[in-house]
Amino acid sequence: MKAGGLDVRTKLILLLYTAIVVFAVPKLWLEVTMFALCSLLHIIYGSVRRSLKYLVIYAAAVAVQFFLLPKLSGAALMTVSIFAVSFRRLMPCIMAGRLLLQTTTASEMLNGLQKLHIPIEVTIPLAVTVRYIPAVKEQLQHIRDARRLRQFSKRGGFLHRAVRSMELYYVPLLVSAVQMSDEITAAAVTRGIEDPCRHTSALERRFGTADYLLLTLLAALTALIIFTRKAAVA
Amino acid sequence: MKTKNTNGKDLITTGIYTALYIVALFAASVANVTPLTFMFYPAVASLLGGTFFLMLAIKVKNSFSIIVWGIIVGLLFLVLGMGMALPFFVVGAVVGQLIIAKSGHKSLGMITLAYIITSVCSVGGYAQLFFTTDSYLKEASARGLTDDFVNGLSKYATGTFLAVIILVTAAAALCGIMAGRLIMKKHLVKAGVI
Repeated sequence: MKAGGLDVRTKLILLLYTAIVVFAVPKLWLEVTMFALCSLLHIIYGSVRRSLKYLVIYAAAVAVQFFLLPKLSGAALMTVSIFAVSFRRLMPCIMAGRLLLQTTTASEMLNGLQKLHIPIEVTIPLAVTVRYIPAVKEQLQHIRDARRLRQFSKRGGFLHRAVRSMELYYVPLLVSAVQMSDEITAAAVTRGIEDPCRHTSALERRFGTADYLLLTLLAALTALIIFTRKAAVA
Repeated sequence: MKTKNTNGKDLITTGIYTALYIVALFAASVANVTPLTFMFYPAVASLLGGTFFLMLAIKVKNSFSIIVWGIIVGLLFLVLGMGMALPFFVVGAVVGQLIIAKSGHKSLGMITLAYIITSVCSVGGYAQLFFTTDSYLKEASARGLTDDFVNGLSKYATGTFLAVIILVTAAAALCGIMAGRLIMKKHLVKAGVI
């Protein structure tokens, strides 16, 4: 990544800002603004197709809310509105989160968090968590395939089946978690994770123009929110 | 190169079990579909996550991992729109950590107690609904949730129902730990992974 790449701290601020603002200020225009901002960033980072995919889903959700929901009632309304409204509200957060995860390497993230003076006891578990979740998803898929092959699913009552399937999922997950933690530890210790000194990084990031631009934008948005609130009260 | 402060293995193990716990939370989020089950989301989540908490508490014997777990999961709640749950969850995790550290990471009873406390704290995410009911509901409908959903929610915003949720969550947390205990006994201890 060359110039134009955002600092990890900016991406973190963007994520937290999106999460707080979208849920604390329930206004559609604000949500759309955050959504537009995030998709713009995705496009700048080169993932035009993903951005388009999000855009289609988002537009569909908004359309459903305004045109389909008034015509529905009862259980259908409930289910559709969960997807159209609750999930749609999450989308800016999901996008900001994906931006953070997919354009940041683990070492970049550790370096950025270290600069924020967050202790290593928090940053390393956080980095491992973030990296391990996709691995768990992959494992779940494998477990599902294996289950299907051996046809475990169709015996006993509901409770029996639920307990059994919990067991069938959890045991392989735990066994591989124990193994993985040994392996990752070996790799990390080799790279000096237990060194008490301040860790350095070959790729030192500083705040650049893009960072300041984005932060100014967020500040302006905050001012706008406060202004419209006051206007609404008066 | 061992120092007394940093133990890489502990940190990484914490991260891995936190990841598993978060996947369990995602699995539990199917509960969010109707207003009634929405209220029992913490219960479902603590039932599914109990095993991973147990493993974390047993495997990592230091004085901060549960707190770190609480912070990470709390941050996830924040990002997923339940910001109110963050402070409660972290406080719960700190209390849980104190209990577990005091009992020396051995007593199953104390681990269970710690998990029950943390899980019950996660109900705090609904604090807005119970204590500032009107503004919460107004906000919910302003967000575009349908009237049915909001009415459903308002029906549950009573003290009795809060007590029910807390009790059910505590019971679910207990079951979650018991399930983890059974799985450990049946498979992991025999296989020598613990």
